[in-house]
Amino acid sequence: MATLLDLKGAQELQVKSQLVHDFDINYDFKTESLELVPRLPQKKVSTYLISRELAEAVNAAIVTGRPLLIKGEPGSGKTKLAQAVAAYFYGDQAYRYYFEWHVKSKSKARDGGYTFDHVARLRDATITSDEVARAKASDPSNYVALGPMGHAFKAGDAHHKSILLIDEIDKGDIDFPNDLLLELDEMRFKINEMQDTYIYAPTGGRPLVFITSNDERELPPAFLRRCLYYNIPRFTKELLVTIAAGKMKEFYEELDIKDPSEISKQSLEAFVDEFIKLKKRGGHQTAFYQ
Amino acid sequence: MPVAPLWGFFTYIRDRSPVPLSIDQYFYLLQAIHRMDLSYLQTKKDLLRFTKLFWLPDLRFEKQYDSVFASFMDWDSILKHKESPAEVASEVFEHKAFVDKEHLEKQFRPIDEPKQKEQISIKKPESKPLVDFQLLVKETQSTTGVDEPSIGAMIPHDFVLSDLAIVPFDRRHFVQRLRRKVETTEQILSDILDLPLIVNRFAETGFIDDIIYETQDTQKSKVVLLADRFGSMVAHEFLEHHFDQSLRQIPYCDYQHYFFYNWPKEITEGIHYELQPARKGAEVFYTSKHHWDRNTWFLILSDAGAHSGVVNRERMKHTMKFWKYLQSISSHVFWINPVPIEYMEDCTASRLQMSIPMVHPDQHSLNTMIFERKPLPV
Repeated sequence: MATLLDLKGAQELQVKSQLVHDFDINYDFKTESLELVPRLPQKKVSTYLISRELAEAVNAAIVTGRPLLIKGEPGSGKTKLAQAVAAYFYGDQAYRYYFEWHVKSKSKARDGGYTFDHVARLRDATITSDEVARAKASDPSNYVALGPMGHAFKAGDAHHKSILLIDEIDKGDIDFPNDLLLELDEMRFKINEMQDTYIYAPTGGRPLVFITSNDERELPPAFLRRCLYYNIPRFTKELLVTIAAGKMKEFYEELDIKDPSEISKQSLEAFVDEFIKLKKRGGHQTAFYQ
Repeated sequence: MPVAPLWGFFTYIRDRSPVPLSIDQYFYLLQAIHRMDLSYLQTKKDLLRFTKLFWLPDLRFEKQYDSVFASFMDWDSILKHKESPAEVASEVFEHKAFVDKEHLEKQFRPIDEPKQKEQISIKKPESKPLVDFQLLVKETQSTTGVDEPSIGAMIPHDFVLSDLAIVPFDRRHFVQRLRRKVETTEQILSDILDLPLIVNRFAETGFIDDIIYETQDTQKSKVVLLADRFGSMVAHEFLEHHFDQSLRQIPYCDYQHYFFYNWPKEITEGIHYELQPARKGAEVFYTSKHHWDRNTWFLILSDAGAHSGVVNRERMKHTMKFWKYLQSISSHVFWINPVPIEYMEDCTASRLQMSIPMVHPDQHSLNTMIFERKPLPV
């Protein structure tokens, strides 16, 4: 795989829309490997335009191994970036290496690493008539399910960097970012229920971590010191036209129309002008105009 | 001897950044410089953007960052947002073989000014002269004919009025000390089952004799910053900002920040006061004693009319009343006055400080405030 985003001298990098394979993922503690079972249907990754500045930020995150904290207005493409980068590097195998963790108000930092099904273990342990279940209960690894961060640590290697998206970190509990310091610094975490078993990223295979924030809450300085930062600026009209052209092409391709010759640049610009007017009239302070 | 690229600028920005920067953040940039192809970094604007990736965590401080960068680079165009072709051309750097040279910062040298920026990484540019309060006072006094040496001897404080770089106290130091005092941890039972413990008990005994709930640490501490704004306090706005940033760092602490003008407006005598929230968009807060408890720490930041030079009896009356109101809630009420007592002549502040102990926000006084001053009994 390529190691960095390469714009080849251009101002933007377009990651084209494509279908990617999806997988059910399980971690086997005995073989210490991930088991990937293909799942249907395939997922679609939309067209994404990566600007030179944004590519520079992503490359800096790759070479330094630091998480990239991305801010920007709603609709600016914070969340889709990670997926697009995965599609750029891995094509239709993107979901082998790409993992999403959508933070909720009740999310705990540990959940990203793993969850432990205590109730299932209790149930198995209490079924006195079922020897298999009781034997299963004696091994705690049967009840551990790795979370997206755990998968990301285990999926990558020195040649295939896994990609982890921690989406909307500001939605989490106030302690949430601080609880991730060790995990993001050393790329490892401990499974308490398994006698100090550690899950860690391989040497040279630190995952590329994207963290998005809507700035609803200030993040603690200790957390910020461990990140790189990029704020996606408001779109210019020119960029909007380019994005619209990409999206229109994608739309026509879905309809199996190979040559959408009726989309002229003028009509796209007129469309974008109307769009901007509409947004301004609605008073939406979104990312769509500058 | 090799020089670390951009080290000079890093220390320059670190000393002026409202968000603390660590040495690691310098090394991240260094790593990136060595491992990325940066041949497209051709202008100062590019360099500015690139350093922001590493050292500007909060866009609110972008203008400040830009101006520090501009002052370091002696570059006005960023502030003026001019981009005439001539200017852009003058900002083009040499960029051949970026990683080959020993002193990488020399790569950022403008073609037209070969010598000017030669020592960019080690050079700390001459700062613009800061407004030194002590000098200002001396100058004023000398023009008014007052005996200069006696004034100089009277003023032991050496601080600058409005420069964030030279604040009278170190934020980290202050927070570390204060947090030890304000954090009062209490463990309470939550309504969530402690499943791991139940399972372990069951594994040990073979039966469950009672349901075990998780215990959670709860923090009962509250810190309230009450800042006087406008008027002469405009000169001390940076201090309020500095305290605000510091207090936010105390974990598990319910921190509240309000402001008032001269004194808070009393709505119901001795019961409700009106306070303006510092957070934009928040509603006006009407105090009530049950909002706070005896563990609440109140920090009042106000010059108490020290700059006015007159005695305002109304202000004295209202201030005393409010001070007593807060003291009836908690014994941790502290008045931080940015104007040292030595500066005060007969004015509202000098009279108030006979009844209200006021501390100057320097390192020593704040430590004393936190550790040594015994709070008055409630």
